[in-house]
Amino acid sequence: MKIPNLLSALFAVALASAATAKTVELLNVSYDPTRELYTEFNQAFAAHWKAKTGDEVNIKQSHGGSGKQARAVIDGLPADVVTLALAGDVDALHTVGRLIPADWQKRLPHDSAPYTSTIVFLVRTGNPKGIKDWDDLTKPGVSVITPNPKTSGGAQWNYLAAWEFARRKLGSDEQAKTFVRALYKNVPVLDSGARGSTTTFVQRGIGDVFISWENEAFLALKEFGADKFQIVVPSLSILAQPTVTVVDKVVKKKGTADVAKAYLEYLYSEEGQDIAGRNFYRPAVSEAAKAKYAATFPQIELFTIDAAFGGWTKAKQTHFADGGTFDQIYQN
Amino acid sequence: MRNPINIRKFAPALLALLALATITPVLRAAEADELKLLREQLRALEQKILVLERKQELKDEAAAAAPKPVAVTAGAGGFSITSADKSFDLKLRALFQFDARFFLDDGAPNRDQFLLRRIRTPFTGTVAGIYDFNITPELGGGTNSSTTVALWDAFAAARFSPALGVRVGKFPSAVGLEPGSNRHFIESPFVNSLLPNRDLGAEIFGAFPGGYADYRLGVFTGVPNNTTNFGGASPDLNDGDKTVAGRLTVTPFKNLEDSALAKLSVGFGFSHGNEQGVAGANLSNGLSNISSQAQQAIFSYGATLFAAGTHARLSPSLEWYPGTPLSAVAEYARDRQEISVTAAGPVQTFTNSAWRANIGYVLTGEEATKSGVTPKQPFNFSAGTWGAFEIVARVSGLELDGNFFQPVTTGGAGLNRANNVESAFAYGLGLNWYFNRNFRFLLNLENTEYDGAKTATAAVGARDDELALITRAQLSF
Repeated sequence: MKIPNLLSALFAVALASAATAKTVELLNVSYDPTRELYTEFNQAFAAHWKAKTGDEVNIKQSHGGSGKQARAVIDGLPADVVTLALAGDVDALHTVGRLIPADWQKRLPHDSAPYTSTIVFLVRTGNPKGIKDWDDLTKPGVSVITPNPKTSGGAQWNYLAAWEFARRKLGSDEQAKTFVRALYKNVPVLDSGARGSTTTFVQRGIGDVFISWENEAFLALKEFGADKFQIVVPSLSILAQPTVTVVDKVVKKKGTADVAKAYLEYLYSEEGQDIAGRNFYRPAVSEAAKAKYAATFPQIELFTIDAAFGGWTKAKQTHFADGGTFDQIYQN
Repeated sequence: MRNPINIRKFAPALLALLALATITPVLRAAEADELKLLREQLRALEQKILVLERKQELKDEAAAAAPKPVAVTAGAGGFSITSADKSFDLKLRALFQFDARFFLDDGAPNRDQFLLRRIRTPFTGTVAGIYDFNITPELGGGTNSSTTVALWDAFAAARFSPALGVRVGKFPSAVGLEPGSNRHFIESPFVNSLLPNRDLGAEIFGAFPGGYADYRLGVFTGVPNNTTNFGGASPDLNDGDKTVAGRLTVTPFKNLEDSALAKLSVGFGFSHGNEQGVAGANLSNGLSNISSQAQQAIFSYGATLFAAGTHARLSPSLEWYPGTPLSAVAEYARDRQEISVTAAGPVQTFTNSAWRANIGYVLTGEEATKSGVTPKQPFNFSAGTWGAFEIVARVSGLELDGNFFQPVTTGGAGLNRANNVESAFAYGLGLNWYFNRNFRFLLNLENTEYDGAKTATAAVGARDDELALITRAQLSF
């Protein structure tokens, strides 16, 4: 082969490669505590996608309070996918933003919740205030850290878990309201998201107890040392189901529908489920992953949002909409 | 017999010891309680401080994350609306010039006048960070009746990098140093009579690495000298081939930061194109009659001459604004054009030249800049401050091709020497009073000596020496 011919062939190959392989960019808009989870998952998916299609996929992450993130997407943040703390925030993308269809939750297994979590207490080592259950959080002199339910999905789970505990123990919504009001009187500072509250409690040294995502509590133990903090498991907690969806209008515009769908589906794969478990989220579908991490997670009596509050739409309207119970107790 | 212990003597001490032994544990317990209480209070206090600090931290974070508001400003630079990230910026500015001209001792009456020289409202801005625009209407400029409306500048530009930008539309030509913006004197020098003012076209521009030189290079319609339009009903059809024009400006001593020469810049402008006019009115013929620096007609191409071929211009220049009260500008222009001297020809080549040298000095000590002087103490009558004063001087000349006045049969254009000057030399002084950044009052006294047009009548123009006093009140923002 003559040199010019060789060069031509090389050029043609290079051109063909350039024409077929491409780089796709995705934006995953998520809530506060999932930074570590998606940092690891994104690498795994990029490798998977590269092996499957030959294409590079570059996934950017955005984190913040779940409600705040949903509003950002509705206001124009071009998220290909959202992986938020609760279905109610994702649902706003349909009800307010018209960015996704009404039946978005049926498009993926397990109501589009590839992993679950719950709410536990993180206290300082030795549990100096003797925190054992929800009613300890209302005692005078106990300083409680929890984010703002107006902006944080995690905080809404916290709020509803406390409410249901009180309703079951005291017998009525009115008494539950009084209970939750007493609890929030013990909250000295409201962060906008769960990660901010972790900073407040763990790094700034404020408060006696942090009402925390289970995964966030485990992460604090892992990163800051089990000699400094300990987890207290309440008698009752809520089954938190962070949900995910493709943002249809955005992916249609960007031409990323296929890769975005594959990205979320990969959360249900064995590798995706294993990564979730490794990052202290409870795998939702993989039996192997459930078995592998069963010992990690404490046994707690869990109730669901649907059973206790009639679903997110009703719960949000009653408790977190303007003028809802949270506004009533926190302003009074 | 030993003396017995006197119990009574030691009784008080024993009682005291007994009491002490009894009280000490109680005191210690009280102290411990107090210490515990103090510790709790200290911890509570510490928590309060930590909470306050955290709240402030959250407040700061929220403020930093909050979208910055759109900035609406009004100031010496005009009125502006700027987006938070500064990538969108709109400015509304204005230029108002009111002139008074007085002709002294030149034997030609009825030419003193007041006039609205320029009334412009530039609307400029930037969109999406790198795209600029300028839309400048001219409202009655150069008249004493204020009935003329024109679009003076209308261009868009994209700044891709410091080294490369693209500008399209109608904008000041790169050939001359300062078309339409004379720094020291009120009216343009003769140099501008031989160079284009604005032109329609597209150019690239930018600065070479290091900042020692910048360039402009473009393709244009090709306007006659000292004008902004070709004239005629269909300029694009009539103006011949496109004209290439550009300028290279070099600041050779830029690295000598402490030297006065650091801000000396040397420029070289040029244009080359083919221009085709039609016999008839001024401008439609592709030619532009020449006025004196006091804006009096001194040379007319007449009704038979018209542009008919290559038109080339060269213009070296020098500017020096050393960051002191002193400033100096010098410029030369050489204009060479093929002109048909009758409807049937022949086509002759005529070469004209002009030059000027300006110098200024700010008496009140402020720095002289290209855009003017900003007074350290703006004019305020009640406070007794008077702004800034600058004295200026200018010498300039014009040399028209002698062949204009030769008979057509001997290679000339056959123009009448009695009505047209052949050369001019002007010298003048001025006083510029800067009230503040926005208002200035200028006064120029300039005398022009002419060759040619010895038999001029008063109606035609200043064939005798032209001594003119021109004043201007200018408001700009």
